[in-house]
Amino acid sequence: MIVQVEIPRVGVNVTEFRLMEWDAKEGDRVEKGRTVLHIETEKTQWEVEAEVSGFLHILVEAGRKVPVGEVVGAIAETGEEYQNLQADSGGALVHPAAVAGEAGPDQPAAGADKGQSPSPGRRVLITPVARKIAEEHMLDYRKLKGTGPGGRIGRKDVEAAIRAKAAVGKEEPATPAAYHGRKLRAREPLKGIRQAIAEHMHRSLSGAAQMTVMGEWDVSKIVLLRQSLLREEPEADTRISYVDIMVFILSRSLRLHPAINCSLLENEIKFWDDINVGVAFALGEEGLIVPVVKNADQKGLAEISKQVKELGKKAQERKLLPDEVTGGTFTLSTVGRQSESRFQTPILNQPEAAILGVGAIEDRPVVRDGQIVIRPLMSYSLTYDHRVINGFGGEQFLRTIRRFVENPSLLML
Amino acid sequence: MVESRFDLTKDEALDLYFKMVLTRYTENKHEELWQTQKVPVYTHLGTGQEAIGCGVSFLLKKTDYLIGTHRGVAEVVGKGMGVKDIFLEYGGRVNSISGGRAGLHLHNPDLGILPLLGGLGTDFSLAVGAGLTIRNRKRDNVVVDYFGEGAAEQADFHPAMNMAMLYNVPVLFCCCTNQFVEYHPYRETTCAEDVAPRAAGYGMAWKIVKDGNDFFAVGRAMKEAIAHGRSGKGPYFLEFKTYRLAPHHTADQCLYRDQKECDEAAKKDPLPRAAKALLEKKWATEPELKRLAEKCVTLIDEAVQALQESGMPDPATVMNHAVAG
Amino acid sequence: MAEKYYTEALVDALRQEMLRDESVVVMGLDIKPSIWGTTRGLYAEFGPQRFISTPVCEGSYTMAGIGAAMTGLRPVVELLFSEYALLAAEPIANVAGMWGYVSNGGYKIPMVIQTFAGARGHGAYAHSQSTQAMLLNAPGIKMVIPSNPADAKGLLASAIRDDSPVIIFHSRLLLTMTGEVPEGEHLVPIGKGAVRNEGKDATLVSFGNMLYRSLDAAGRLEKEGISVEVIDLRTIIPLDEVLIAQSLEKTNRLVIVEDGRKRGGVGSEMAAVVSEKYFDLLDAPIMRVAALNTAVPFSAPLEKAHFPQVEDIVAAVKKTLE
Repeated sequence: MIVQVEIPRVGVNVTEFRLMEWDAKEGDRVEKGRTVLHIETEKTQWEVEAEVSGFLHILVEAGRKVPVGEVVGAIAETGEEYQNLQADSGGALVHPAAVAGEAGPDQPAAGADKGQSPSPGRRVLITPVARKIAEEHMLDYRKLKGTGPGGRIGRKDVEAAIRAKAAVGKEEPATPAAYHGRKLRAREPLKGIRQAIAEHMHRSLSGAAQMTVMGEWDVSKIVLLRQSLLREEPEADTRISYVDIMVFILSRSLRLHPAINCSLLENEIKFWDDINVGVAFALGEEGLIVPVVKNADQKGLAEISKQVKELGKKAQERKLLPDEVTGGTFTLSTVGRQSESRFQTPILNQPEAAILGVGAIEDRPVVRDGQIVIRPLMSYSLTYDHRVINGFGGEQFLRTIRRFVENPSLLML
Repeated sequence: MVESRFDLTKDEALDLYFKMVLTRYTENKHEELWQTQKVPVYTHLGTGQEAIGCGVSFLLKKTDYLIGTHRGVAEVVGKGMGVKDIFLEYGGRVNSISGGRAGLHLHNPDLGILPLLGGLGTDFSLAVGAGLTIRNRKRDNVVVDYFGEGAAEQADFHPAMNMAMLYNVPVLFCCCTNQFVEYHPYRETTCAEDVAPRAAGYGMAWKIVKDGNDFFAVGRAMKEAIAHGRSGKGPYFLEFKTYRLAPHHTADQCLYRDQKECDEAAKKDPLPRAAKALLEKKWATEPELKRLAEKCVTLIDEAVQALQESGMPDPATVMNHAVAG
Repeated sequence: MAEKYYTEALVDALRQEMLRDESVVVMGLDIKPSIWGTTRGLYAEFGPQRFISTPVCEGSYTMAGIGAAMTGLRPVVELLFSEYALLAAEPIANVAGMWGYVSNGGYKIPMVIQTFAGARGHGAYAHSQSTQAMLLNAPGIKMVIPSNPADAKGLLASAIRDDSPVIIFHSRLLLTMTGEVPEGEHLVPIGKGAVRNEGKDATLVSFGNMLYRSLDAAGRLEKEGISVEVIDLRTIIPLDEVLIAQSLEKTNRLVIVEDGRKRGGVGSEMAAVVSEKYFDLLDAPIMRVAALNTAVPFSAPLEKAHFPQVEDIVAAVKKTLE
């Protein structure tokens, strides 16, 4: 049997998808249930699975935009059928719904069908209200078994399927005592900030191509700078911290590297005019929160310092306003200063394209002019979105930061 | 001729003649507009019947009611409907009385001209209903229901006659017997020679005017009938004999009649006879008649001008006045 | 409030309107003896000027009513049998329903036509029909079907005050029904239905006599755990489709019950409107329960088989739940 691979009807107003990537090559053997094709619209992404195991034949290349319902490929169960496909004789293409177990009196005998509608033969019987509910919940109803006359899918069938899908996500064990060989000690539902962070992190990682590069900066000059600034505390009216200095350096560096200060949204790279640097604050068990210093590149060090302190205080008191935690274009994470580890793989704060995590400043032996000397080193981990920033851009950006860190007087220029 | 108090006065005669001429010219112009595709409504000319058509309505007040026929415009012109309004209606123009909705179904609420329905002989009872309103409101108005002998074949004729007498309503049933019912000599579709005597069966007053092309005779008969109606004496049935010089409608070749018969009848054309009578009575001079004719031409030219200048209705208004549409 | 017969409620409304507006006149055959009771006592009170007893000429006296309406009166015309309302079909459909529009508002036709429809038991084919469907396609008219005395009074009064032609079909079997009727002026708006029983599994739409069979069916289904919402339309033209849609939002299932014949029946139009405009609310095909496409037979068992019974309505609801 040869089964079509077609663009599913999911989502109420979705009329076409772009084929992002075939997950297997022409002729590859694919297993039933495995993802063969990634498709996306501006707002949604979807994975098309193989309905049967067999050999993949690609009809439409990646990169194309294709209407919903269109056939873009086929899977031939046997090698011989695959040969026929290749020979472009079409063969008897089967609609995926027929494979899904629908009670059909006869197998369709459709020719190669690149048309919009499902192949002639077996139509999916579904009531209007059931179809509407299925589309609203992004449920591919073709896979459902209907309990109405003639196998018609009704509202209760769709609602049952939606409940079942949600239940799978909850992972509620059938019996409290055992779950796949593990005994359960306690349960806690994921909700509130924890859930929001969990979703954000997961979405971030699954959305971007995140690359992390790590290293250490010699911050001797920064230490000296800070000491001199501490002496000027009455004048500055604030106690300058390393975080403040890093925000300052980052903001000036971003000004020189606009390609870092951007986001990939709606299929285009948006280069931001503002440089809004978010600073991550830990919130104990609950996780973290990232208030934003807006237009950091326009602000002096003292102003940045005051703002960071104020935002930190509000964060601890849970008094941050929505406006204060949105609009960031780059994030600085300094939570590593208190941590056991030196290096991390920070996760991008979507939709930003880069994030810098820094660790604690520690004295380390380094080699200078053939001599071993002790220098204060700050570890850093820079994660960037490889879809919009490449290795070269990342390196250039780090070089600029390093130059400012190793020679702060350059910031005066 | 014995003088009767119902004889037309000079002014009445001149008014009737004017309307007859205006009718003839209007209908000819309509034919021309149709042939040159300036209006999409073809003609059912009433050529030769103008004395009757105008005669039954020219004496009516604005508050009297008239139901007319599809043939020509004599009766509505007689009641004072402007040629402009007629042409605008035929042209489906936006500023016709119906806003382009009625076509050949002329009507005019301000002048008491009730709707010209589509079905022949379906409106006898409509006239009776208008009569009921007059009766209940105690008005001294009358309803003139003008029709041809073919309409009297329709189902509504008898019940309307019955009800008119039962309720004693002031309806003047005016039958114009022009010898033809659509494409037939009328004796092929009606068994009886005269229509009016049926009224006797209902106890209704009736009269036959043998020469319907004599405008004085028509006028006199109508004056008497109207007086009868206004005085609360109830309905009256008048039959006027004439000959339909025109075909049933513009494309009708009249294969069903003898052209010689038609030519003979044409000699009795009411218009030249009326002009001659007015001159003989010295109620008008040749120049006056000429001026009268010119006046008609002017009115018609103005009407054609209005037709050309007027726009078509806006499709967006198609649901105006629709009930539960 | 007082307990009154359906026909008494109609007389109430007619009388009140005739006292209120002297243009209102009654016309029709046999209205003087008032064989249905709908004009009882009015001749004595209003006399022959306003109470116009007509000869046997349904089409013609309806046309006379139209002539009166066009010239300033407000006639209430009675046609004793909805079968013989068909004699007046041309005047109603082709004149009354047309000329308000054709004259661009120049003429208005504020007339009411009352007729009597549906089985009365042993009526045979000429005195048992519901002929609403025959006039449904006429433009320019409203069509109203009361189901109880209070609504009968309110709808008749509203119809008389309406400036367009309104035709009212009274169910023959309901004429002897009693119910609470408000005293004094009582108006029920034309175009608005009423929910007579709330439910969530299916919607039954009906009117007139058939409303009660639908309520019976709903009662039986309730015992089986099926909850049926019953709507009394009260007006057929214009259709209260919003009320039907609101119910369908809950139930997703529609059954239309009428005592007219099925083919081209009132239910056909409603089913088309719902499937065209409210398709996404449907979880099952729309069912119509209606009389057979034949003449109404005389003998009792045949007559029963001809008209929809409670069992037929129950079966139709169950079909939508398959």
